[in-house]
Amino acid sequence: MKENAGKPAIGSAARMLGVREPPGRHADVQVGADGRVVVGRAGISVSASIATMPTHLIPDHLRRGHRALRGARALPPLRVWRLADAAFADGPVADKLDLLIDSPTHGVIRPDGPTGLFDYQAAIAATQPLWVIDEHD
Amino acid sequence: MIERSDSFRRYERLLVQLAQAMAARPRDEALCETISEQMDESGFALSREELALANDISGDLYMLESAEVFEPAGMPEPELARRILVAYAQEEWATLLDLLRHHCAAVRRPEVAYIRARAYEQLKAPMTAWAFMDFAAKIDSGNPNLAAMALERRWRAGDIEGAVQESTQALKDPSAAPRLKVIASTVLIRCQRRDELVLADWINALRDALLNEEGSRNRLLSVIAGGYGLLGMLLADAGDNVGSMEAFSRYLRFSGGPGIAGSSRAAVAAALARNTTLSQAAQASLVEMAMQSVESNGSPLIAA
Repeated sequence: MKENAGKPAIGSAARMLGVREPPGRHADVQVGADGRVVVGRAGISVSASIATMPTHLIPDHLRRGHRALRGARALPPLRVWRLADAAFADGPVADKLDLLIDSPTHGVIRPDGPTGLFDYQAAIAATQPLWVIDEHD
Repeated sequence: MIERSDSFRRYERLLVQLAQAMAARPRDEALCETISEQMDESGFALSREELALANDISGDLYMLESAEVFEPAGMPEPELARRILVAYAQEEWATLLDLLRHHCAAVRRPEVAYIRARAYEQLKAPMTAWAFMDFAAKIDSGNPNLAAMALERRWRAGDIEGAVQESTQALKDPSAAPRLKVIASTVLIRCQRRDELVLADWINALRDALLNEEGSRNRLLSVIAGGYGLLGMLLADAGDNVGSMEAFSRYLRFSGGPGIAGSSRAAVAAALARNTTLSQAAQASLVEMAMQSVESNGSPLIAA
């Protein structure tokens, strides 16, 4: 996510703390006819570690000195963030938010129950103080 | 047999596009961001092994903007050069890719790009193979084979529109290398895009290219043979039976060398004997042979 004053920038655009909303082409979630977020396998993508992130999302200043990050291609102000001490495992990660692991390397932060898009975005934004830059391999 | 997932194929294609966009000067930041955003879905679907390969590809693609991070070799440069030569001779592609991540002045940059193209082709990363061969052709524009091999790889990687566009331009460019024109003709025939050029213009371009290749000190008989085979097909399409038979006769004259398919020779000889046009199977055989003609003669060797 992009950095803003030492914390991830909040917003609904790409590379921000928030989900991209429908009907955008790259929307991270779907909204049902009842106006609620469809709780499934969609949400904010997270990875198990830097080494298991796709290379286009790893800041390019990490290329030097890390064999596994030699192909890093993300330009500033993108940084790599860790959510407090949350484990990479299924379960609650913050108020009203749940982590679903869908592969050994990838998971999504999604609503922990039926909720509207505004409330989901607000719950995500509320986690901003918990995120810290963590760019260790 | 290596199989790549759909996600990897999509990610690899976008990664090459991103690397080329990042290497462009001036850099179009908005384009880079757009491509990067398109990469999220396929990127998060990659396996650990595919993520590692993508990282290697991306790191190597920094060569396009001369920003590659080299690893310490841990051995004297002559030893590194020797190992590269041995691995190249034995076609140990994965080893070569590892060795080339150490800086070795004895291996010229076009050669590094060429070897990477060959290696990534073997590792089933065809867009990357094209990107490196295309880069080799750009930084060693005096080597007529590289541009031809790059075009062939572009087509093989599935960038059909790009290959057709490049082929059309090559056939209209009087200064384009004859070998490139032969491959450009095969691309248009294979893609069934004969309509991209006026047939008469195409025939003239190919005929001139072949005369130039024949007169070249470094001429390749396989290229000339393949080119005359294609010319014969085009002339037959144009209704010039006399010219077609003459082109096929030349094909037979030049196609005695190694690497020329005996089946093509037999088919053409039979058609000539009967004074008929070629069967579709014989035409396909000729096109395939022409496509391979540069490949089998195209490797620049490393001087260490």
